[in-house]
Amino acid sequence: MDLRERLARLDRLSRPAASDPASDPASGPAADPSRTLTEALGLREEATPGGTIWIRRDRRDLAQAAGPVGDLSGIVATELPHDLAWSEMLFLDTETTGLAGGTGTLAFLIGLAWWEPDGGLRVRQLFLAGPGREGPVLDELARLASGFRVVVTYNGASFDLPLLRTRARMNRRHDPLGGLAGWDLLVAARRLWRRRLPDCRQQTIEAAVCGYERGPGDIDGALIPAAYQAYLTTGAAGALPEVLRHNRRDMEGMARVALAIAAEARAITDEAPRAGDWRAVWSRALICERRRDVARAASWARLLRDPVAQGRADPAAARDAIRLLKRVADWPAVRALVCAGLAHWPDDAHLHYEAAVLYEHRLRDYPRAMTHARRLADAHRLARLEARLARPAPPGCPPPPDAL
Amino acid sequence: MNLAQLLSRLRADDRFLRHVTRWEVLAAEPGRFADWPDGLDARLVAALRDRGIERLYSHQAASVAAALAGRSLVVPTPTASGKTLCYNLSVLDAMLRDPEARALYLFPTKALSQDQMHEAHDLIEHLGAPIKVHTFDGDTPETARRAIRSSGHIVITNPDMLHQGILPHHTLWVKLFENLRYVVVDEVHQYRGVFGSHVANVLRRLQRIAAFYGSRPQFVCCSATIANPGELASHLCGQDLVEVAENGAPRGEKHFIFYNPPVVNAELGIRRSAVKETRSLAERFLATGVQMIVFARSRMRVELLLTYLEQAGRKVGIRGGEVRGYRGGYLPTERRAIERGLRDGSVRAVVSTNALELGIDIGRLDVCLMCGYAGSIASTWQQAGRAGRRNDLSAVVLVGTSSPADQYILGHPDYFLGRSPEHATIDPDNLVILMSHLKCAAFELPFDAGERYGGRNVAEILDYLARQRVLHEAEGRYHWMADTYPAEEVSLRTAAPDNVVIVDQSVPGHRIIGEMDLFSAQEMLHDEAVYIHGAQQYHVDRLDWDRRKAYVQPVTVDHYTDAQRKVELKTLDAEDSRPDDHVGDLGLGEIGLVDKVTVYKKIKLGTHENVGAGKVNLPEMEMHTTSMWWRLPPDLAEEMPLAGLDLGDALKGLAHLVGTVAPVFVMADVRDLRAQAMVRAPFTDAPTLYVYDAVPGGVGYARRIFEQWTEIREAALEHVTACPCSHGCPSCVGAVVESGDRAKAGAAWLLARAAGRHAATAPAEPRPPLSPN
Repeated sequence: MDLRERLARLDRLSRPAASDPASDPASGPAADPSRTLTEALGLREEATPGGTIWIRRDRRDLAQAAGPVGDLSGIVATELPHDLAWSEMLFLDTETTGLAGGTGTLAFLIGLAWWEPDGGLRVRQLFLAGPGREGPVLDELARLASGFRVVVTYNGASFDLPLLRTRARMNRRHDPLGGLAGWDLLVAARRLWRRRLPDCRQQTIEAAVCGYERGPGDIDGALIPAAYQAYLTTGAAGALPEVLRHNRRDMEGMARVALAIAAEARAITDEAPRAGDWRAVWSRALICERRRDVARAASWARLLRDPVAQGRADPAAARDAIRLLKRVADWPAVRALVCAGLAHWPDDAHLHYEAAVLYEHRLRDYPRAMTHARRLADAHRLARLEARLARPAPPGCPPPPDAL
Repeated sequence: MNLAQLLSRLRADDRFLRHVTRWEVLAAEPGRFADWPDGLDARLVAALRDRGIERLYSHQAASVAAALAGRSLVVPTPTASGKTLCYNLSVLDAMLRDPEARALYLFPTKALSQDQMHEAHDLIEHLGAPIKVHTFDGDTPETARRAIRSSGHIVITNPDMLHQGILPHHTLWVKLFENLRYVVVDEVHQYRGVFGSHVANVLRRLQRIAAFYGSRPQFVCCSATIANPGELASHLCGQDLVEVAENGAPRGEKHFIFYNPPVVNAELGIRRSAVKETRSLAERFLATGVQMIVFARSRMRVELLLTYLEQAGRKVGIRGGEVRGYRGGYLPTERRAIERGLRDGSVRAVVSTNALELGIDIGRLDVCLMCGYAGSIASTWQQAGRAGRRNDLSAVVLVGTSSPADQYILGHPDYFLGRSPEHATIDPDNLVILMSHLKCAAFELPFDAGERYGGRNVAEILDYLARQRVLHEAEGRYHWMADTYPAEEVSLRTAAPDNVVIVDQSVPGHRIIGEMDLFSAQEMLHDEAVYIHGAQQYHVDRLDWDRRKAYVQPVTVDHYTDAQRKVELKTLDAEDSRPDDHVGDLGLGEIGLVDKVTVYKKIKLGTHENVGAGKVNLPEMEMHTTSMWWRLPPDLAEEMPLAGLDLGDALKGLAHLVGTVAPVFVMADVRDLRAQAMVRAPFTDAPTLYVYDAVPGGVGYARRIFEQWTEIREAALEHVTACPCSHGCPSCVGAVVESGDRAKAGAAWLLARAAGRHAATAPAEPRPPLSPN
């Protein structure tokens, strides 16, 4: 029996009887689809040294913030140039044939955006006409990217950028973005907003922080690979116009999120700490700590006292605040937070630990320290406290601070 | 009493000798040495001398010389014959010359990888060279992976990790693939059947990726003793290999004793428990002060024997920690401690599953007891190789269980001791397996139209995959186009990945107690079945076929269930045929099987009475596979009744018998092969025995049986003639209730005719059936 027959049999075994590939309209060839396709997608064919590529150009009226980006330390994961200008950023987002990663996933659409000096947001979309045509697209990406210092993505550090590196290797090319620093907005968004939002997906941040609503008709990301696959089999645009629109919205959304992050960064640095949403206060305190600005971090942390006292805040917030206030030795504030915290979360072991340390070493109130040490079943500490109670205070020891 | 004294005492002990089917003394052999191979880096020679190695064994030197000459090679190495030097020397030599050179080591298990890493580390430390060795497997922490990818010179992994974790991400391994000089494949005899057929394809993919990065690695393969190491390794690696034949490692005198426990029920072919016999032998050996390993086939038997040996040890002053168990499920640290204890002598006895059969370094012991045949000759020699220091006396005792394969081996020690007749078989071109890996390969790198894969033209299959829209063909190349990760869907260790999960719902939150392949699940896990797992009866409340789950709960009932399978076998295509020596013809080809479980019977424990029945409502299962068949002349059917025989019984018995004997010859697991006979097969229009691969597409067992048929037929005749049962037992033609009371005589008669002999013995008198059913 020859291979053809065996394949046919396998075919019969593997697929349900109802589906006959011959009768499937998707498998039929389409008549010169490329012209109508480029029209439907608004693409233009452009000759490059490596071959023809399909590009779409757009412009969005979205003003950049005035002046330099500002200090993003503590918010971004990697160091960015300190004098970075808005016009030196290249926003990038890819649409791919799957989310599995590895060498078999292609980026069939590379969306790029940047601010022109006049303020408008330029958008370029490089569309992959077929899986064998990656070379010139990657070359064009490298050419465009060479004018920028930073590539900005949303979750690109772990998805888009490694994927493009892989595509470059597969096509025997250098990393087209190799010379650029990377700014992954997802990392910043998590640090700033994860405490007050249900999740940190780009669209959640856009809506909650930037007030940017995409409107109806945005394609579900899970359908995107199938849209490209359908195009490859039929040559027809199908759902691709929505995919390109989705990608443009992603670009614009990213630009807005970047602006919001920079604004938040400025607020943390420049504004005097003031009470607000306790989760925002908490995040700001931690950002200042990452920036090694402990004094400022403590100023924000002090603002958590009321939310903790009112039981609105989270015990984790209380713990972070206590840690920051200990670093500036603000013992009255530490004590207030510990007491307020324990009033609401009497079983929180961490708070009992803080209380035991505070009463033993700072306030020298050994009986109270013992109360908390007992809650922790900390035999070692209890033994030491008993010994301390049994002997008089050593000479020269400062008197305990006033009870608060 | 020492070991030598105990052996002479046993030799004089009639009660013991009565059950010994063979006592073979393998003479001591001195080591054979060779000079350092020309061109081996002097630093390596110095480092080895530093470790007290003045010369290499002949097989080590030959391996290194072949590798240095740029050849790929395979070297059959018994346990503890210094095989790691066969590859480590050439690999390190390459790295000393070119600091960028890389090597990939493949071991079938993670435990072996660890062991090999330490081994290589040792040598590198003596060298003082900046060569980095890393294991890379499921246990490697994410944080270490990046460094290993770029800077590991020797990366030690397993085929599964290579398949799912490395090849589909080859762009992260540029350094490795660009500089890949050697691929070391150890334990190649493990890569047979379905697993081997998959691994051969993984190695095809590996070479394809290496070629993309411009490298063409040499292969160094090591194998236990099998009949065809060269053929297997060449088939696995897809290239001709030099076969290093001679083994130069020395060995001391070894006594190999085949011990078959006495029969306690001749009718059912039941013998005294192998566990108990092993226990009493172990006690005698322990008392001589030897270091000993006991192999048992199941984890439960390991625990049982361990308990017995601890008790026995106490009587002769051996403390608890000196007798240890070793099996899957023990923590790695615990295992390492036991391995160390065996090496330094602080562990006196270890009871192990085949986990210790593989090349983990535990030094050499004095005595090896095997509670049951290891399943293949190669495995048995590997286990036996655990006993035997270079110059001292050692002993190996194989204690037979009642299982068919054990009884075959115990009854035919000559077969075992002669040159290993086992051929490891793979079929990398099994269509199902091939296609799975073509998908993975296309994911890794697009296929050029006309590109050959594993030396064959795959254009038609690529076109097929393109029609299925898994690949997309454009401008002469086939690109992966689905949104999935194909390697994730292909398990190297099974042909049909689908399994039924067995869920015990009597415990809160439910508990998974096991898995079963679809075919067996239809028979054993249908609604209302009584399923026995770990000696516990379970009632199957519901088999959710679509979700592949069987919900069970423990019960204690006085019966078990026996499902009736209706198998429709259709010959689809005959590709080869020839006449058998005296009677009938042989055929080889493709068959289609439609399997359906229709009814089940409730059988009372003990009396085997039929106490009820029920219907099973499950979909048909269809499978295509490769089969060999033996067509008997129809006139035999007329002759048999004259001899007081029944053709139906004879064929049933014959199928059971061949199903028992054939796996031993083709190194297959009993489950990998099935035999079925028909009184009148539609395709041959005559009485026909079919023996086929129980794997979709087949992996080459049937072809081997077709080729070795004369040998297997003779062995089957000998086995059934020698079996001490009266009318048939599970060790030969199957139990009488199963095959009929004239099965044994009939099968023997057929086989004798086929061998050109007339049945020497008169057929046994038919007996009344066991029960009215």
